[in-house]
Amino acid sequence: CSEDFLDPELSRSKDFTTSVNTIEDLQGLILGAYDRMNASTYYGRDYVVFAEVRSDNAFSNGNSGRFVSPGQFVVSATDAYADDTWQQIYSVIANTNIVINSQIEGDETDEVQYVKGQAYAIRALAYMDLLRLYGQQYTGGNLGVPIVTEFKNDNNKFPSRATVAEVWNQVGEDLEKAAAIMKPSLDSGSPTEMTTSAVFALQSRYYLNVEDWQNAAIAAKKVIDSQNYDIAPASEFAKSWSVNEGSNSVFELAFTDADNLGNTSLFYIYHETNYGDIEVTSDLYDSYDAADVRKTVYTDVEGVIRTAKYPSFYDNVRVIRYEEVVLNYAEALTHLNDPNALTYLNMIPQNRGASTYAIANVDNVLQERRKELAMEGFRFFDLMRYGRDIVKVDQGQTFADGGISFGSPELAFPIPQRELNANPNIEPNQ
Amino acid sequence: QERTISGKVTSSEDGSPLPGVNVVIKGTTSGTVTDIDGNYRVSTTQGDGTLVFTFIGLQTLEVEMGSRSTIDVQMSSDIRQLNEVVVTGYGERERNSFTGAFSNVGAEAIQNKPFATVEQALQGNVAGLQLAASSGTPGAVQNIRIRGVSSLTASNEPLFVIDGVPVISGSNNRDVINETGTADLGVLASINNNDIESITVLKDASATALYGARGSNGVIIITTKRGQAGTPTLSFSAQTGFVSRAVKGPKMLNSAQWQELQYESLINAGYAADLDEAAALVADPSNGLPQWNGQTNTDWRDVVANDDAMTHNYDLSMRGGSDKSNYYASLGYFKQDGINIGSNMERITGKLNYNNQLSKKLNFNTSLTGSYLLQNGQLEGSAYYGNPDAAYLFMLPIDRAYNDDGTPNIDNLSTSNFNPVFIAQNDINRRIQSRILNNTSLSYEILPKLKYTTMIGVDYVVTEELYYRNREHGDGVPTQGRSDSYYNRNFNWDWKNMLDYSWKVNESNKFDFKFVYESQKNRYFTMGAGGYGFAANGLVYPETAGTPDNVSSYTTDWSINSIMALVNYTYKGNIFLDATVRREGNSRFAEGNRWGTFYSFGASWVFSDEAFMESTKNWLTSSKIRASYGVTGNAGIPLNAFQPLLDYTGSYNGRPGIYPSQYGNPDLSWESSATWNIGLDVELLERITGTVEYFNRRNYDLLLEVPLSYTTGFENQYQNIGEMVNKGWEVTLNADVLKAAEFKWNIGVNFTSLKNEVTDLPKDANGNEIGPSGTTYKVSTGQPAFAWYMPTWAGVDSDTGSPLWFVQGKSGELTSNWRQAGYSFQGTPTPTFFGGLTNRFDYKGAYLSASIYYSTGNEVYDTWAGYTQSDGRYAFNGVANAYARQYDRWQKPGDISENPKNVFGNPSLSANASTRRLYDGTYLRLRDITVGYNLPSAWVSKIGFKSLDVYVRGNNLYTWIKDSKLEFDPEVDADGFIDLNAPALRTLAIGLRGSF
Repeated sequence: CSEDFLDPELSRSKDFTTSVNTIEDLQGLILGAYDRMNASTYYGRDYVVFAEVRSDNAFSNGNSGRFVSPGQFVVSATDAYADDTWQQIYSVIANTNIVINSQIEGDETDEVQYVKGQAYAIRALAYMDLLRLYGQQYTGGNLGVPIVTEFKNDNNKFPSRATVAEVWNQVGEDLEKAAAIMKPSLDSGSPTEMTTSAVFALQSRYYLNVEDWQNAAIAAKKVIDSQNYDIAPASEFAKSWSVNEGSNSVFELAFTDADNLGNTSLFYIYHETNYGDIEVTSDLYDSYDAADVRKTVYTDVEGVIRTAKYPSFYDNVRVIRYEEVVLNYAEALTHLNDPNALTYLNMIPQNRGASTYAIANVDNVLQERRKELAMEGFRFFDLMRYGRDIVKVDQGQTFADGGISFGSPELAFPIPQRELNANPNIEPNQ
Repeated sequence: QERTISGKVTSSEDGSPLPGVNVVIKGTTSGTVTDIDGNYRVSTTQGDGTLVFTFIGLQTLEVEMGSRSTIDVQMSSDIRQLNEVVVTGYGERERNSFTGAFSNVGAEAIQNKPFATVEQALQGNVAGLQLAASSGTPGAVQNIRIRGVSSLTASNEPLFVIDGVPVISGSNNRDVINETGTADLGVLASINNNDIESITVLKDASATALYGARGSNGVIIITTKRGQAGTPTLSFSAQTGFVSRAVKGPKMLNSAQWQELQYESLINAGYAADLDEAAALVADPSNGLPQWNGQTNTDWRDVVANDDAMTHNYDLSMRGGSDKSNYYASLGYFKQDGINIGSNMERITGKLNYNNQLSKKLNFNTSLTGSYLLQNGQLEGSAYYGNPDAAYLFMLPIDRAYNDDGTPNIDNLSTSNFNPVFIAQNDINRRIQSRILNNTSLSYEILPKLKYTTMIGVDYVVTEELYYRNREHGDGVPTQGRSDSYYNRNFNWDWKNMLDYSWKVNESNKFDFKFVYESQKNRYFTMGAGGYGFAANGLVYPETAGTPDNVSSYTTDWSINSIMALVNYTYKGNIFLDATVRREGNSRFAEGNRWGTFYSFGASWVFSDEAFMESTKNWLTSSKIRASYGVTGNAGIPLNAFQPLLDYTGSYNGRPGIYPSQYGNPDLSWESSATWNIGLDVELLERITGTVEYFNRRNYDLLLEVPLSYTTGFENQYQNIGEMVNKGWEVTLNADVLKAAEFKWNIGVNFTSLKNEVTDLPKDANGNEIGPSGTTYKVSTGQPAFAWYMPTWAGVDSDTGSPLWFVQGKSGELTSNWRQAGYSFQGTPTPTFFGGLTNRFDYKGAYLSASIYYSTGNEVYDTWAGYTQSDGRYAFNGVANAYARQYDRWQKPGDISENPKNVFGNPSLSANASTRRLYDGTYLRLRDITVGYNLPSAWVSKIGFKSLDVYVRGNNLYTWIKDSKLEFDPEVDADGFIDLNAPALRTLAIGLRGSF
């Protein structure tokens, strides 16, 4: 027999070293990155829930034992919550690194550059998310997360943690690079993929985090000026949750009838299912005016309050809504003492049948962000950005009655034990 | 001129007549069978010749007829192990000349045992072999370890060979186990135990070098029954009995206890000041707490138990032939219910073995087996809410199992679990496995001492799977029902070409050579479909799903190419040397690393034949010492593990997504094992046989999944690093304590002492060892593989009721904060001492046999105790019930109790990983006990039978567990974790077998 007899067949995979050659290959890797973002350990569920269950918006009732430890602020280094999300986000980064560093034929064409720009933008979002969950910026420390910008670089197999500032810097640079090389004319028009507007929206988010209000305003304004998006009007708001690719969606992750998370979805954890662990606090529910249409996206059954956002497990998960961009803009203008701040801040309650604000200040911006973006993965990070404590507002919350003060070590997820075991250069969070 | 020869055949032991003995004139087709008095009469025209007397279980006797007309013979039983034949799959070898380590198990230990898979019959019968049931669901795959764990990440399962053909073992399910949530169905469950003549287990390098990398974990060689010269014998057997749990399992809190603890936990948590307030809290629906109605008290263990579980086994076989050709044909039916509602297995088998001496030089041999197996499984393991074993532990006693009209209650259940009765009635977890196994060989004697053999084995297994989740209750509700179906085909062929040459230099020196060229290829193909959204009940296939969302089809393959040479040298008939060298190419490795060379040497010396042993010959009837050494490889690693891969199975928004799925390692190569074996075989007074063996196996270049930093985008990478040693003793003894004419007593004992130690691991840059680890185990040098590693439980603080752990090691400073508890090594999941004891008494026709299995030295870990022993964290908010043992809890200062203070939503982490959840795995089990009666032949012959035997048999009737806190069955998966799986079965059956 020849050597062929001993050559195994590959039916689901291809050899990496010879298989990244065309723009289709790069596009496939970008789709693979979205697919990985869809995992329930990232945007499919956990990353969104972490920001809610660790805030005054929601708590875990432990019905299926899910999200108990994050809700209690007792996630340990061996906890799957710490482990899985870390792993998942870095696996997304691996996809983007292949795309960014691949030299293919026609590399300089706009089309290839656009795909690479998408990779930069996804990588920026991924590092932003890693830093916000695992970085020490809210716990009084200085350590961020390891920065890896090349796939399979043997010289960087065991990277140490960059500082918080270095990671933010990396995010900023990636977003700038994406903005520079993506041509708006190549935008697909679908919010299920990274577009130039999504990049600007991410930039506004990024600049708010680093408190560069001027640039945050500029970036948000680019999205507003694109006129591609609308705030969902009051009459449409409740319905908008079951419409994919709505006009208020800047970037969303697609789930289809045939490709969805089923019982590990946001729907399953938020709604009355046999999981249904995540309940809404009465504090959040009571914050809405009776006439506020947003109150209709909650249900109250004998005191058990649940969100009605994410109405089925095959609905897309919104990552960037236009309303957030407007609020980002309002927030930036507030800090810049721009008189337009109040106009933009009030655009949201005006479209919700809710009372408007008399002044634009940080508290009002935070309050409106809470009401508008509740249960969508923002609340914990918004509180943290302003150094606020996590206050216990509901008996259903399982952390100490005194709440969690800003600066407490529990505010950062632990670096997973498996990472600590595998990587000698990494330092744990305390 | 025709003449008649007659005579009587009697037993050499007691002189009793032997009926049913085949008597054939060698080289002819004429022959007969002895009558009930042992008398026979044959006619021949030959002047002289040889009479051949054969009977199963007795030594075959050849007698020269000469000119005699009366030939009386005595036949003796075939227990003289030293003269047995060893079946290696590459031919047979005289036991005396065999230098390797092996065990033989005869048909008697296998036949009519109510075990769904044949491996189960080996437990306790083979020194060095451990068996762990991954699940008690009939037909589920068994874990077998021969002389311990040989690999940390590669396969530890032995190779199975049936009639010379390496066959598919393990499971043929879709390889996405978690997708189906059911225990793997074993391919070996397709074999009818009653077709098996014997099983030989090869354990050391001189035996396994024959099989190259496939055999590095040992080889289990199954030989099926073949025909015999003589008149056809028709045999039948029928057995039927009851099935229940071998070990009852833990008792859970009943409703009254549960409510008492619920109220107490609320008070202890500060939610209520007294019982009245606690009761009011529970009664307030806005708190969403489960509440007892004061009446319902459901024991979910009883609910999930299959009350009328049965086992049935019916067989019919025929064997016969002449000295030129012979046949064995059989038909078998086996059915066994699982101990949980809804699970069962059914098997139909047919077999035909045929041999024909086509000419003086050409011999033809074929065997064909066809089987059909249907298994209805259950959800197992993990957190499947439809799993009946999860329902038993998690569902609350305060919930009703049945409505007033007798239908299963599916409303107002307090936990997320589904009513297991409804699930069993409406969900489907079905597999149908069809298998055709054929082995055909032709051998041709080119010259008197030169023989060529070609042998082709084909194994074809098709497994259909159907998983349906109903629309009304359970996992299928959110999607209006869900169905997934798989079709998996596994095709395996093995082709051997062998040349045997025997060279007798002179009377004292003899060489036997064998050259083998062998190729094997395995190809797996699978196709799956699934979807959700069904219009009506009763539609269970994906075809009628509204939204198909699972389309999958792929293929995998592997292949082996090898050449091998063996030489056996015999000096004066009592000193033997052998050597094997095998060169093998395997598709699992990168080009350039594919080929490996393996070898073994062995020697044996029957020193009892030497002159200096003459003085002891009267009591030490036979003695032999042997030794072997060899190096083999293990290639039982995942397919294509060497390549860096991009995976194309992903999909995003209806478009294919690509992602890197494997880091790859082009240097990946064989795991190697170097094995020593030294053995002593003795026979005393022709009554006692014994074997003592010492073995030492060093496994090196172990394949390890070395953890990578997640920042690479990968979890780990396969590398050839690490080393491990298994060493130990095996002792096997068999004694005919009594051999009187009417009363016989035979004892068989075997035991194995096994020490496993990891001796080398790579280190990371910090100097820490890199090895597989988890939250409860760690692979570390100086420790057994997968040693338990967790904090040490120090009991309950009698002042405060807090849980306590040791800060360091297993003594000293205590802490009530789990995070401050230190991790220590806490033993091994692998038994270090185990063995079996069999006894058989015969009195006239009646017999009693019993076999016991004993295992110790390991610990088992309760995977789910984090919920079921949570001291109030999960028991009262509708997550899980608690063990009844939780009732013994701390209540007030000064209390000495097993469990800490019972607090609603208990935040003390008292049930986190610690030795509180680790139990001594020592147990002793009455594996088999049979009482039977062979009806006197004088009676049975009157109704036309040759023999008739009735018996009552119990399996796993009694289990002694050393650790009083271990309420689960101690026979768990080889990894030592007690999971939510169907436990082992106890059966009690009556049977009848006979021949005519």
